[in-house]
Amino acid sequence: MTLSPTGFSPRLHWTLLRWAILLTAVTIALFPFFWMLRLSVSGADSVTLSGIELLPGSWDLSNFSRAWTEGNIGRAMFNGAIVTLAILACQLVTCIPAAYAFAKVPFPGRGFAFAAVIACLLVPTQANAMPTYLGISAMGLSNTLTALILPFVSSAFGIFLMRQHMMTIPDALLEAARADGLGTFSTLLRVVVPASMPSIATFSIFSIFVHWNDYLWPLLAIRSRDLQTPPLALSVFQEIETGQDYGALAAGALIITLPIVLLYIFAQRSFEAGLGGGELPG
Amino acid sequence: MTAHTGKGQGRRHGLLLAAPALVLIFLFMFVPALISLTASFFDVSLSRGIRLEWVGLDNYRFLFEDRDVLLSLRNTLVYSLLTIIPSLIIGLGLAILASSLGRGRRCVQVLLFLPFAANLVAMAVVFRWIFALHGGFANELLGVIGVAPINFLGEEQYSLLTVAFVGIWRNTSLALIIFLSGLTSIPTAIHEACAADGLRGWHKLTSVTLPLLRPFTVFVVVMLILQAAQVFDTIHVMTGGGPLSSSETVLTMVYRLGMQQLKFGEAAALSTLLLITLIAIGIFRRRQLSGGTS
Amino acid sequence: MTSRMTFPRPAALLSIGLLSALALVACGDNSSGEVAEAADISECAPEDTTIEAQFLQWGTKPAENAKEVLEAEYEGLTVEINEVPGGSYDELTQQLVADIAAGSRPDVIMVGLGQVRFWVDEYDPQPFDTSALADTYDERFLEAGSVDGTVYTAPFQTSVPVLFTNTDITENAGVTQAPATYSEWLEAAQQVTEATGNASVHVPRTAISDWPVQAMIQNAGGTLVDEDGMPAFDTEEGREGLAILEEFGSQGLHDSLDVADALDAFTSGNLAYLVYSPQIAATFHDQIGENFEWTVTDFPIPDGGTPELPIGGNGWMVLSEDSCAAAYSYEFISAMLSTENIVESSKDWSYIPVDSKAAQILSEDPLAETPVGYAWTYEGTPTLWGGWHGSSTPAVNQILQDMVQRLTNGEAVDVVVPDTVERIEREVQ
Repeated sequence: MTLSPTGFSPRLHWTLLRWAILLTAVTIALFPFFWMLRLSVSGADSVTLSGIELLPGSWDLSNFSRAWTEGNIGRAMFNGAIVTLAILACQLVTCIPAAYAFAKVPFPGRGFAFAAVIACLLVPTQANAMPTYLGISAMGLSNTLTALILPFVSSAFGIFLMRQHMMTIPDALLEAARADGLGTFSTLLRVVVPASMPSIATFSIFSIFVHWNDYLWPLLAIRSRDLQTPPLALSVFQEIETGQDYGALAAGALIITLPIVLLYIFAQRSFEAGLGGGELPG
Repeated sequence: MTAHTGKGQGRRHGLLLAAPALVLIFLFMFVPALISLTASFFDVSLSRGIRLEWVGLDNYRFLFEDRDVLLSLRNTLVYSLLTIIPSLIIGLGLAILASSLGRGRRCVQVLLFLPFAANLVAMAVVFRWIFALHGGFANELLGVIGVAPINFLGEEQYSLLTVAFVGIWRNTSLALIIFLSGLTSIPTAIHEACAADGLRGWHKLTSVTLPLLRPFTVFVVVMLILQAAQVFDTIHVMTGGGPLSSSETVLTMVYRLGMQQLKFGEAAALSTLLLITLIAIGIFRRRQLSGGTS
Repeated sequence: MTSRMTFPRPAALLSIGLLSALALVACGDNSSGEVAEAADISECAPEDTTIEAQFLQWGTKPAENAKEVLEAEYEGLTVEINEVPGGSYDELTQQLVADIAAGSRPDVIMVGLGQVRFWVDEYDPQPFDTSALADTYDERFLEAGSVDGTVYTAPFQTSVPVLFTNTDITENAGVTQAPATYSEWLEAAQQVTEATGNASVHVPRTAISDWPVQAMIQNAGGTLVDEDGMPAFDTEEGREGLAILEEFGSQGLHDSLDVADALDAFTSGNLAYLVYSPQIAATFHDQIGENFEWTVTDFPIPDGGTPELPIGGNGWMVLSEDSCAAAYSYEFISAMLSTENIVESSKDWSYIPVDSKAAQILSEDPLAETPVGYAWTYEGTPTLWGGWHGSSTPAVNQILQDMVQRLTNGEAVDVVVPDTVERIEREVQ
């Protein structure tokens, strides 16, 4: 649906203008990716003197092999995948039932408990990083993959997002399930989860984005190179004393960005389906 | 509103369903927050075992007397305004434009969402190069049109603007994608009704589209506040909070006080302030957040 | 919200939370925190002992070598060596402080020589047992590992601030000699900037600013920090030492760059004068290759001043709570400081060798004639670095960075220095 007035000539102008604005936006959105790609294939001398040329003066693909071996990127991606998926699994297991309870199954203190969840919604885990670090260390878990997973095993945001969607499930559907003899838990598994798939998918992708890319918490909790997650692995190329290796840094950045971009492109339909969640009034 | 599965049993089940998540949120949100709150009233020393010395409100007094901390509070506010409002407006505008496309809509949509999917540390590194004083793309481009190089990252008056630009670059794509799915969910019947009533353009936007988008707008605002309040990666990588604390925000300041300067009490006081502010926003806005179903 | 139940007493919940929070904090507090005196090693059983060492990347090779030596010599002894990621002594300190607070205390730590006083004030180590050092250990460095005359740290990889010059740029601008005094330096910088149109000089504005600042103050006859731990550089000498930064700034000779970007500017051939540590010369040697000619020379001094350079780099400290672990820790340090290790690490990082035999071997190396060799043949006696009391060092260093940034922005020394001193006084009190 366009917002434009009708009539041929203004409409053509409007179409051109619309495309011009969108193409500008796409250019700005994608330029840093392009620049990353350009630097990652540049030879050493055309990296530092990068300037304005859109294509490098000399090409050098060894940046990628350097990033892979010196940055230990493969290992970091493996760690990142374990951490991200473990967090996701825990979050789904804890948040889906909680979202269901907040949406459809009243219990004593539910109002208060949900207020507490909402209160946490705006609290970034980063703000709690220091005390969490002390706690994790006191449990002897610092510098382990467990330390990267544990603080995130549940998510106020997940509960919030999925509850919004579950509110829209018609009560009649649940009543019907009960009439069929399903208990609360089987209703959850057989009716609520399938009906909430869009919001579950959306939340899952959000969660993967956030934890694959998290920087502050691994920065605090992890020391050994063997346990580094993808963003930390990049730091080896920007240490002051050994000199910044731009080509390898760009190549490493590209390698760790790729899976997440592919995931998004692959899953974008289901991702968008669950956004916003709540039913529209009217 | 609710489906009861037998009185007492349903209630027990509800608690059982919610309990694991609640316990874990309590453990990893409230307990650390309470540690912060507690520590904020003490002088905390970590050498030779943890020693606490009661100092009352001294840590808070320090916060309000320290130039850099005050600057970080101001910067956080400015950064929030600089990123939230433009991201919201540009995101909405682009979403409306993109949704009116027939062919190419999905492609544009995927491309415009990539900034949010990208790894922020990696992108911050790239932006650092783009905005470098010597040889950075932005300055080379300005050179072509005859403008003298601007020290985007190294000068006080530009550093916060530059990191805010990256914030907008990223958050616009988030706003856009949420608004787009909101626009898609508006039933065609409504558009037809509008057309029948001769409602279009700006009028239609303000009187029909925006009200219909309200739940999505609330969601976008929540996400944008969250993004603004927890900005760390870009600043840590691009400016380190400098020069002269001109791009320091609350979270980078907490890191600086707590991790770099070993002032744990003061850092705890600052993160407590941040938490209280965010929780307060959450509580005051809870009706909108819970979807107006009270 | 559908159910409006009143939840039983949120206050009770809060107090439970507080209690558990305190309990959790208290969990970390499970060590005595007393550093033990080293035992007689002949009375210790190696198979019961594990020692752990933590250090930055510069210590990795020597630590690996020493681990091998020690584990072979004392059968059953376990040496755990851990490299802390990151590139600064501040980061190293952060990590160590957090680890120790969480109950994991290493036996041997690398300490930035600007932070010896911090470790002594906060962790109360035993005086360093200098009998662990070889006869060839160069004792002029021990002073720099001391606090109030007592040695606590064995300096390991040391340096002094120096001037790097891209002589291709300076010669093109008609400057033929490396500047030795402020007036020569300023004149040369002006000449280069006139010729190139670009900023010509960089003194680190971030990371290690406090170090060259101390050199500038001392070279003019001033003092950075007095015996009571108070800033003492708001004097005529202090301002004279720092005045050149204001000149660089106000005359547009100095860009507002991060130190990492300044290093890049130098290696890519866009900066004429850079103040940094000579240890990076080995890295520069590889990066710059044949692209341009460059030199390493003495840090320029104020006209009429005398060089009085603070030491840079790191040393080893023992923090064992167990006397046998302490005894093995000294053996470990002794092995790391062997002539072979010092030669190897000086080649990798071009530090000043702390072993006179190593210095002898290095002076015969072909690279000794290149800029890499500056540190190998350094003959001065560096002074203490830093010396702020208690845990104030990182906060004070931040204030000193701010000072350099303001001066190189062109603000007046007579405004910035008093202001800086006042901020530091508030910090250290």
